[in-house]
Amino acid sequence: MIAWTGLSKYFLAPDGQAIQVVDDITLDVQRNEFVSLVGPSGCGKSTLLNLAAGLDTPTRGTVLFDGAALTGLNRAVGYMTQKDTLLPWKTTGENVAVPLRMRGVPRVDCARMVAKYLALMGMDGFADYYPAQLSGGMRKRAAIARTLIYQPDCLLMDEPFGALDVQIRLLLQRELARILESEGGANGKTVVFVTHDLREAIALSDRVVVLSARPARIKYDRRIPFGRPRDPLSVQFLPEFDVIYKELWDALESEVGKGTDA
Amino acid sequence: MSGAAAATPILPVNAISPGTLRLRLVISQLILLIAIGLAWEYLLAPLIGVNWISRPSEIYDRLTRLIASGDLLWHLQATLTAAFIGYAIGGAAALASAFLIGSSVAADDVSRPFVTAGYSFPKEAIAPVFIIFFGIGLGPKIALAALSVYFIVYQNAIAGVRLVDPDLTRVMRIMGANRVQLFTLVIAPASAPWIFTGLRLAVRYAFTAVIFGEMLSGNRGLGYLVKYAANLFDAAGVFAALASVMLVSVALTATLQAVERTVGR
Amino acid sequence: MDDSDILASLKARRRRARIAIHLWRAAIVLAALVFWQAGSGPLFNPRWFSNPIAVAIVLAQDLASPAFWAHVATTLAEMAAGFVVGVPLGAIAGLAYGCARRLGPVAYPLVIGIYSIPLVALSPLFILWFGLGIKAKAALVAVTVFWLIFFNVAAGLAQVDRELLAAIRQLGGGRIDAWRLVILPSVAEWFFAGVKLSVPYALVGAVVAEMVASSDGLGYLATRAASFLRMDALYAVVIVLGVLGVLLNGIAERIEGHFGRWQPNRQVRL
Repeated sequence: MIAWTGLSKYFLAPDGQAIQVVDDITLDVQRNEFVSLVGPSGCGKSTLLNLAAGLDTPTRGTVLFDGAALTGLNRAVGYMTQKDTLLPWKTTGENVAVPLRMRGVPRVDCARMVAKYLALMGMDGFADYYPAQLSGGMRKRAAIARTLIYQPDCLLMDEPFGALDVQIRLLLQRELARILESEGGANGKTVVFVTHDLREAIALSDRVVVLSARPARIKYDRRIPFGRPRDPLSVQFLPEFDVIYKELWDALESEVGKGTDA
Repeated sequence: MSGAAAATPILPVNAISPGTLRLRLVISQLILLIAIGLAWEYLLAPLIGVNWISRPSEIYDRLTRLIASGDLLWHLQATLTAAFIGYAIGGAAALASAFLIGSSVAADDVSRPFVTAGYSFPKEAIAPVFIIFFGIGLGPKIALAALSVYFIVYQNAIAGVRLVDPDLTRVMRIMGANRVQLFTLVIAPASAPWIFTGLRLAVRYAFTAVIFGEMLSGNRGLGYLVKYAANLFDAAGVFAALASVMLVSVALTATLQAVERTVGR
Repeated sequence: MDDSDILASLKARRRRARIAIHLWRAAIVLAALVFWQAGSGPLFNPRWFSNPIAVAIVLAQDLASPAFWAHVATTLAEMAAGFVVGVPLGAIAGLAYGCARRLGPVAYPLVIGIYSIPLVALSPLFILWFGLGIKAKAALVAVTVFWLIFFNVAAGLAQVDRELLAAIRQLGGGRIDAWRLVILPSVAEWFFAGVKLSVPYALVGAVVAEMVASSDGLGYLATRAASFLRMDALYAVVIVLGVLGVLLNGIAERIEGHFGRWQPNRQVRL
């Protein structure tokens, strides 16, 4: 679905130095695969995501989406960041409807779909609340609903649960797994998930890719043997989980000290 | 100079309390004012001379005469009309250009030095030019007010546009927003607080500009009133005119605060 | 392509972008000047708008004339005098207001009332008191500067970090230590910001007072040129004022950068 090939990305710092953020990464994400990118802060994982979203262009190498090179912004993906980018001046319902309204979907259908997706996220009755009136977890759910409502086949998520406290995070992981299952449809949903949290990565993904400190290179690429659908919470109690965790942590630990925070 | 950092009084109001403390505060404020008034009338005026600083009784007398004769209203009308029209023109132009220029990073960068130059350049110096162009009626005052208002509103509005969360715009664009939608759904509402700050500051700028214009030319307006009295060495008249300016200014501020509270942003 | 090539191409791209911006700015200025020059006559009434060349000529004459510089010196002297009076008074008043915590709220309506009078409105009063000389203009500058410094110092005092004060007390410090170590340094930031802010306002104050009534200074030159319908001379003065404004602003920024501890805006300068 997404293929980064021979990808390198450089940025020019204000002082004239070239900063290499990504170093010759080749990575393929298949349809219906859930791939987590894990790495130290500032290592360039967000950059990879931005490249797939068409928010930026590679300095070297190519990014293919669904077999084709990207020209400009990739509107076929869902994109979620750590901050919940809900519009504070619109109600939750209006927020969730935004992508539909922007695609010209008539109001009646919008209302129906908004209701459906809010119910999906367990938020019936919250349509008229403003984001400021909701808790962090609720806002995140609304953001998920907004991302899913236009049914992109591919989701790019950049530490979406990073700003939430641990308990909420666990619950939302479970929700995400459930939703991917129910919303998958014929092709399933492809997910690229960037996170700091190794446990989260293993619990949710089919594959975990550990990236090195900046400039990012692929340090380790591990298949996660637990099938999907699975319950991300209970899977963490399986003995294999700890084995995989130790494996990946060893790969990650040596990189964590090296990274400079962006 | 950033528009948002222009001299806005941030006074430490320590006594925020209910009931009797508030009453005591008001009473002590009144006592202070009365004390100053009495000192002025009976101490300073005889000491320094009525011709220099006049005294409250004379000022009051002059003020009431101005009001009763309808003169004050006539001058006040001129000032407020010019200020209002100038404000409307300057504000509208500023918002339009801020959104237009703000929508393009290139345009914003190119225009920056011009805006800074325009902002730091003493606009009052242009006043004689306006007087020549527009004559001695309301024209030059309106133009001066519009110019003053323009820069402060533009400065604030463009700051608001620049500060819109880039993550927000990124997500919106990926979700399919085109330029117009981005503007109406994101940029305009996000920059609204800044715009309102600019609009609030601009009221004072408009008022000041008009008063200045009236001192330079014309025969109407509160500014003219002050200058006229000074030309006649009429201290009481000067202070009466200044008192009216003060009252109008305070009334404007109070109205603004009331408007802000109702709009409730 | 290897790494040094990439660095080179990135740098080249940035350089091109910077040059483009400067070219655009130059083009705008040029276009405006050409439009002004060409339009004077066919489009604009030359008596009202003059033209760039005529203005340039007058400007050159002015800059060469000692009489002109005397006027500039007058305006600057008024500013300086106003600063010398206004800054210390403002600082003292601000400190007094912040310290006399009981008096603050009581005096509040009085202060706000007086502050609400636009400063220009005071210039006839000062002319009444001091005549047409330097003193009246300096007085207006002094009042302008006074208010800015006053509010900044008062605000600085109000915003002193209480926790820092408590920490000093805890460590055994007395009033003098509190002032020396915490209060004065924090207020100093605000004070210098106020000084920086007041420089352009001081220029405006001096010029405005001169325009209301004066016999010398740049403001006077402006009104005199206008009264003789010498638009070219008027524009020349306007330009000088503009340049002076920018220069003074620049100096003020330097002062603030030197003394103040504000974080500069991390904007990439192009």
